[in-house]
Amino acid sequence: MNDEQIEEILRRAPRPLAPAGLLTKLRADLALPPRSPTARVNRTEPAPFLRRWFPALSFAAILLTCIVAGAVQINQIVQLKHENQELRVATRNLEQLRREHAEYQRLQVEHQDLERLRRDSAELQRLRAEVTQLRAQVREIGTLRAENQQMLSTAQQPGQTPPNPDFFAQAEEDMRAKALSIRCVNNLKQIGLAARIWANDNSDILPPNWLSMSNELSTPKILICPADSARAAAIDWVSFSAANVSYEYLNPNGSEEEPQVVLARCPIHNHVCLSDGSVQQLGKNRRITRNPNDGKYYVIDPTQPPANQGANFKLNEEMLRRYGLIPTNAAAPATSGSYE
Amino acid sequence: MSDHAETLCDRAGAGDMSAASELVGLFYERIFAYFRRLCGNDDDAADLTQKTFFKVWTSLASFQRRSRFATWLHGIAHHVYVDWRRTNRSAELQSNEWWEGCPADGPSPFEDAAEKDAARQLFALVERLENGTREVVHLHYYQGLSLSETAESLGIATSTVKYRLREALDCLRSETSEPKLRTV
Repeated sequence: MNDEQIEEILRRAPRPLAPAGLLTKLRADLALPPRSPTARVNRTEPAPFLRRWFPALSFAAILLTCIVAGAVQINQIVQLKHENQELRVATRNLEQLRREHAEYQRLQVEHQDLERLRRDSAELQRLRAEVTQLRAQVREIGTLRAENQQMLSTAQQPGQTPPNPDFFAQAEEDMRAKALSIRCVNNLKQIGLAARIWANDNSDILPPNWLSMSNELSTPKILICPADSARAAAIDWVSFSAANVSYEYLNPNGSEEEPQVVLARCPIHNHVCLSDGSVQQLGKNRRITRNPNDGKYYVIDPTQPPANQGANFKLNEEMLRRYGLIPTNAAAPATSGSYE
Repeated sequence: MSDHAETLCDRAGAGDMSAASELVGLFYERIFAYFRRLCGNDDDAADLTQKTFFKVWTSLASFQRRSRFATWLHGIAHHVYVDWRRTNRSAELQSNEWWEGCPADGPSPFEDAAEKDAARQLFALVERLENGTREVVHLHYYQGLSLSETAESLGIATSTVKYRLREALDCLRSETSEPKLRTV
């Protein structure tokens, strides 16, 4: 008997019949548990599915994480290898670059030496030219000495006028006087500038005296003419007095709008500072005179004809009044060029 | 029948007495036959059937529906039988007359004169197999469960079921040619 026959016979085994009252007993013994809403399992509920597949899912997640981590590490390793390769190539070129750099440094030092030599050579050339020039001047000095000796010998001969021995001293004195005059002009310019600054801050009215514009004047020394040896400058404005001034202040409380009026005057050099801040060196020909109408001083030139008689040039009344040639009082008739 | 049984099980779980009664009607004959073949007398088989259905009703709320209702029912029946065996009760061997008196679902092997002797010999040999092998043969061949259902009912692996069936067939084949049986 083979396996198929054995299985066939076993599958067709007879089934014993149940006793007649068994079904009734079983139905009578039916005792179902009380109904519980939680007893019924919801097959569509996702929780059992997750609980069933949690080990596989967790393993898959761990495997995926490991794969990702491995991929990242492999990527980093590849990058590091690439960087290592680049660094090796760069290191290979580094020796060559060092040699080139050393060569460059050496050439730079040589270039600096060459530049220094060039400068020295140029300096040497310049010195040589100066030496040549000096030698020429020495030779010229020798020639001039010879000419001077010759002129002296000619002058010592009878019939010739001897040279003035004070000639050079006189020239030096003239230069010194001229320098003092220039310094005096400079002082007057500073005085005029200080007066104008003071007037700008005080409604275009010029200061009444020297002390009023002490803030605008840098030092009391500029009130002393350099040629005035009789006076000494004040140490400061506290000890300032009339004895410390060389100049005459001629337009106290005057208006800045009268530029022709004399503001200050140096009695030694006859320099005047006008109310517009300008300074004039009057010299021997010109002088100042006081207008009796307004009591102010103006510069006049006696050698020139009066303004209204010379070349038939006649100023109108407005210009005459502006320059103070007629009194501001309209009732008073305009006078001629004589103001004294 | 399976889907109908699952539906009845759901309804019984919800407290439907008529569904539970119908479930009993569907399965009590198979369960009784299972116990009757194993125990050897009607009274014990009827008691074990009652115990089995009592456990079914008390455990119905914990039925997870991971298997068919018939598989779950046979698993309970197996545990009930194991508990019964632990009381040192020995099963009675079925006589040939009893086998011949049992009705069959289809053509009975005892109807054919050629198979009659072979059937008698085979059924007697099955009763003398080892317990584990005999239970596998009962569930798979007599009760009509599949291999996986048999394995699930017994709580063993399908491969173990296959192995035991192979072992049983080898034994039956060898014994039918050479009657050398092991004692139970």
